[in-house]
Amino acid sequence: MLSRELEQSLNLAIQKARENRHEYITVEHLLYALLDNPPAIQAIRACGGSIEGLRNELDNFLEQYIPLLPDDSDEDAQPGLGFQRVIQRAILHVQGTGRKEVTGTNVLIAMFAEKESHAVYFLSREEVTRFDLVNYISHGISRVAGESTGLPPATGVDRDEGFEEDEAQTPLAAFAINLNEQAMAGRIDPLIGRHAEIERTIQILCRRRKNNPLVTGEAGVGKTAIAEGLARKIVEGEVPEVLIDSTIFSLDLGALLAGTKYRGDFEQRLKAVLAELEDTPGAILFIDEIHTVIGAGAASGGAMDASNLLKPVLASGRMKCIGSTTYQEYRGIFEKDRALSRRFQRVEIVEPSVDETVKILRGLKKPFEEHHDVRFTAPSLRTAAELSSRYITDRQLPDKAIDVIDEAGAQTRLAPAAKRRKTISVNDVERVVSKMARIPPRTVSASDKDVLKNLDADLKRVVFEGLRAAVKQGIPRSSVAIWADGDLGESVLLRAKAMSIGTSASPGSGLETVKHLFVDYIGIQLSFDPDSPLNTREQLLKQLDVLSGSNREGSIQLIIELDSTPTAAQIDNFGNSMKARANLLLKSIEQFQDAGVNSGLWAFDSKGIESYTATLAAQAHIDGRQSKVLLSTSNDFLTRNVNDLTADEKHITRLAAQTHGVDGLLIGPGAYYHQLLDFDKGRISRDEAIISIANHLINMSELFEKSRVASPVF
Amino acid sequence: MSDSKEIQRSDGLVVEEAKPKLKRPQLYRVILINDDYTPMEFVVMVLQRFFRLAHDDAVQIMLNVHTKGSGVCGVYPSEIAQTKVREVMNFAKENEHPLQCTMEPE
Repeated sequence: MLSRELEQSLNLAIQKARENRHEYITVEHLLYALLDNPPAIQAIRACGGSIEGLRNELDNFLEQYIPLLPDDSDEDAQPGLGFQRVIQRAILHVQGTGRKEVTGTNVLIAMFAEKESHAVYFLSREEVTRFDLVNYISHGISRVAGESTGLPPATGVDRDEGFEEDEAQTPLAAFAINLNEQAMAGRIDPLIGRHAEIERTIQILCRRRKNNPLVTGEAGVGKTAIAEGLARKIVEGEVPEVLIDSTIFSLDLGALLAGTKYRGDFEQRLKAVLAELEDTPGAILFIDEIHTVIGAGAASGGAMDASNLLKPVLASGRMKCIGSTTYQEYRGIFEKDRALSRRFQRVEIVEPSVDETVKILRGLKKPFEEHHDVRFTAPSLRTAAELSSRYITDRQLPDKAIDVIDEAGAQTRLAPAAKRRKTISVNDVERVVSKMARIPPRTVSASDKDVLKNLDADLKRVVFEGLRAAVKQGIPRSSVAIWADGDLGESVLLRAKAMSIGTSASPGSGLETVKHLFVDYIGIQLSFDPDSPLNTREQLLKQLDVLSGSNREGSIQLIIELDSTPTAAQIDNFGNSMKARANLLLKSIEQFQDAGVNSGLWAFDSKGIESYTATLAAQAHIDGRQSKVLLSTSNDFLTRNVNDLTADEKHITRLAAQTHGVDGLLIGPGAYYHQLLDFDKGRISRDEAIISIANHLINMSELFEKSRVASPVF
Repeated sequence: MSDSKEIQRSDGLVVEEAKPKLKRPQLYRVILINDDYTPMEFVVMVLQRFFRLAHDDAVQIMLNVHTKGSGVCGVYPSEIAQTKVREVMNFAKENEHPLQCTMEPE
């Protein structure tokens, strides 16, 4: 049966023809009438059609093309053949589906079979297609946002049909992401700085042949951001004319591989993508992690992989391709495929400086603020850049700094709504960094220099409290370390000092302390032990050979170890003898810095050649690297006499001149060895020993302060 | 490789097929075909009745059919042309004349 609304529409169509003395009632009359049929209106709108536009077109058509009945005739308008067929088809279809009522939309769809009718032509002009209509009616899928019915599918169309639709996408749409579109949709963050890199990338893209830039850099420095930023610049028209019509497609290698069932599926897909790219003017293919194309899709042992499919296209210059990979993978994988790598021009992305990172953070802060509903203060951004640069050493700026501010924002979400603060301060950032780097907050919260400045005062407090407690409880000093371990967790330096005091019953070198510091808390220990049975010189040279790369594999292994346990490297006992050996030391500093250990503590045991070691240590500061240099000195220059300060003063003044440029001095427990010894021998009481040590340390600190030597660490 | 090209081609074609759809639909000429049995008067009547022609015009077209083998009776959108052809054929059949009426794109 016809629905009531449809019946009205049919009457309207007849009425329209009669009023105008039209000879026939045509499909166009029918469509005209359906423009007042609610379900039909909804469907047309959902498919993006304009009701008014259609009405105008139809009015013009009916007036111009429909023959009129003579005025004197008493004939009536007759239904045209098309009109009859449409109604018939709609009714048959509805009967076939077992439904009871024929609606306006059924008629609308039935109309599309009249391919030669103007009605269908007008609908197509409004970009209303039969497919859109049936999709809308069956599943409520609308082409226009906000018009979806949200109804469950009206008919049992099986899922396969939807899948077929996916398959019908062009290969490029299915296996690559159009970055230009992403940029237009505002899903790409702006690129800040990097002018030189972008310029070089563009320059390479403009070459006639081998116009394929390969962006290399450490993970997190923003390689992907270069491609995305370029897309954004293209969209914003900020690129030279040659590139203005370019589109960047980011290849989704995963999607390309996923679901390939048979040998050849992968190749077919990739070929289709490449063919489409070649046919698309201005297309630029972006392959993130490009080293993955080597071996991708290759059958076991097969020589044919994605990289081999790419090679001919790349060399010819018919297609532009941007690749990106980390430095490590470039060296390890990509570079080995000479045929592939020669087709690319490298663009090196270096880690941005702290200042540049701050700029980047400033540029990116808005989306993060919106996401977390907070505000970042300017100092908090700077702190994030500085602290992440200093303490998160296994990763790169700006990525790690961005992580810090993101996490700081996320942290506010954890607080109950009432207590939630809207501003991210320096403190918040510090807390996040300390969590991420697993460094106790107090160490982080001030710059290293400040720590060292306050160290003597802090130290006294902790040392004496520690000693007092140890002595009181009658715990042997050798186990103070265990006690200290549980309780004095705030500063690694302090903790190590407490241990040192506890464990060194004899005057030892300050290096003991440093060893604990490094081995237990910071990083690895590289011990060149000159007292080993081997010939010292030979052994050293051998070790340094490893470092300097004459043995490449070994060197890489070492660098990896440094990468994984970073912040600092300790070089042990170097100063023990000759200047020649100190030169080796310098060499090794360079090696370490090349290996990426450039923001940490350098501890040197000078053993009497303070001035020379200090000069070398100053090298650790080259290029504004953020190293701190600690120099452990021999203890024996310090007097044992608490009351004779003149001798101490002389030594300290000399030391000040020799250790210019050193951030801290490590002075071993030998400084108060005599007090400890006297206590051991029962010559003085515990309290006397503690007071005596305290006085001694205080006096020495004052001396150091007076002579403006680097802050001492006892 | 050639396979993938074809897939692509066929994909491309689907898109291209949609374009001709947007051409304005053609109009059709309705044509009467000459035969040796249908009386001239009948043809004139058909032209007057179904194509609303004045008597003189109808005679002119009838003569065209008679001398040249066929004559154009009018130009209409597809549906109307179809309907006219059907009406004329039905009317001729009712009167047992072998008159043929067809349509062709203009």
